[in-house]
Amino acid sequence: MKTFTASDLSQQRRAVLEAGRGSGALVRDTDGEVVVVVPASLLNHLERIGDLSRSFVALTQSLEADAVSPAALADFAWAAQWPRARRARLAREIGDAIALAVSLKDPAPVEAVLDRCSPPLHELNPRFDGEAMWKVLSEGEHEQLAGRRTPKRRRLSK
Amino acid sequence: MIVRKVEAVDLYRFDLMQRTPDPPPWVVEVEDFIFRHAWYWANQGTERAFLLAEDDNGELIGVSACELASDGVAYLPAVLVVYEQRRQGYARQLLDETLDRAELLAPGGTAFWLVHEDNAVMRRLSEETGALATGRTEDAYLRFELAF
Repeated sequence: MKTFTASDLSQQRRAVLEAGRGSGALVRDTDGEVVVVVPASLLNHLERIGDLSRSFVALTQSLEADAVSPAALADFAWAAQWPRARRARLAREIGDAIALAVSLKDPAPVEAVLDRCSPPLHELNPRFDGEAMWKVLSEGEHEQLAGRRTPKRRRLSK
Repeated sequence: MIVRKVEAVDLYRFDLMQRTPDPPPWVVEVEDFIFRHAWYWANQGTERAFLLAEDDNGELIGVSACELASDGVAYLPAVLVVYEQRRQGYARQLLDETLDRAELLAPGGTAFWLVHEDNAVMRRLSEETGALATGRTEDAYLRFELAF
């Protein structure tokens, strides 16, 4: 990371931004406090890795508990219903993926495991899965209120 | 108000959203989903649009989504104005913008969405779009439907 002073923010604005967009810029304020400039995507990635790591710790701790709360497992809430051995396998896989994610500064390896292992969207809440809702409603598992042709849209705000 | 697709970098903003105090069940459901499973929607393909509304200062106003449920049929699983921004008329604009995106997913087709029968504001707005309540689920959600 390249280091700048507070006055560089006006005198070397472009250089500070370029450094921030690259490996990062350290800007030392007049009172000595150092501010870091990095791409927002990197910050987002690191925060996500932090959240996943917290969930991973909860998942690991759950292996020693008799009862597991879905809320405690956060990102892995859906695994609360799994038997202990299956959770242990998931924890090993997530642990490897988190180690890789930390070295890459990118949560993608963990997200890939989540995508593969987590249940489909309609099992989390069918209301948020259009295909599942369409199937339910098309199969007549609801009370019909109107039978006429669907009306045309009217704009609300334009 | 600007409505745009949610990007990965926006996900952390949802953690900062104030949850609705004493919320009705339909708000709980959408807020839960946004807090806990937004990453599902953020991995959007061409058949899904996860949208974020913000003001000129970048303050979050709301979140909505639409997706292709079947050929020519778009589904709107959520239209939410965040707690601090309610009662300012944003829901009307957000629903309209979401229907615009839904029309891109299902041009010439239809759209449907569910509104809890006690959600008076969204029921009224839904009726104003021309949508018709064509069904009712066992847990008191009305299905609104309209054609593009």
